Amino acid sequence: MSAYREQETAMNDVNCLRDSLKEMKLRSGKSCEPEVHDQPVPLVGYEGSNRKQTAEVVIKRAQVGGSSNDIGFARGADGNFKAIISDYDRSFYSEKWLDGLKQNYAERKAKQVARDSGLGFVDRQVTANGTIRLQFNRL
Amino acid sequence: MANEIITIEIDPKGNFSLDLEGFQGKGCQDVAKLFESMGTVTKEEIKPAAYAGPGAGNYINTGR
Repeated sequence: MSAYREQETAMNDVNCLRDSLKEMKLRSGKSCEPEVHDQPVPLVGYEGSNRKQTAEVVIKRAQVGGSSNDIGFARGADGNFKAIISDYDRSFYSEKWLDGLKQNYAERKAKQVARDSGLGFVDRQVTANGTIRLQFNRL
Repeated sequence: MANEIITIEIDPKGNFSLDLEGFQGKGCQDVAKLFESMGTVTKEEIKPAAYAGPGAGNYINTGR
């Protein structure tokens, strides 16, 4: 018997998000060390003053790049994190960058779910179009 | 249980599909449930014999 599902990934696990961000390439070339806060904190602009936007997960502007603003990931009412990126920074931190983050997150989360559920990891492959294929079995 | 395989494909946009093969009865639905917290299900197909029993018949329930 078989089943097939398609799902839109929702980033709702703060630890997975933090760990995925750590693997993302930043324009500055620096390593990404995101701050994680229990409550949303104001994002800071390039000039050093607080912006009105707030977020629980923050990449400080010094890491983001020269003359950049903080990047934030704010948890919405649905529990999912959404990116807050200034127009200035979107040239590098584009939809493609966010897609890469989401792909990294989904892989990390899938492996965590499988591990916590006692599923056995079998294989990982990357296809020509960049799709990541993971296989597990039930032990 | 030896042939129960779970295949997850994550596309470059970060969305994923879940393919479960070789399960008995409703075991595949139990496994699919494990991954529901990862995001909204946009498509689902269940192939016989999810509701196992003699003469369960053939059907595919597609989409939402």
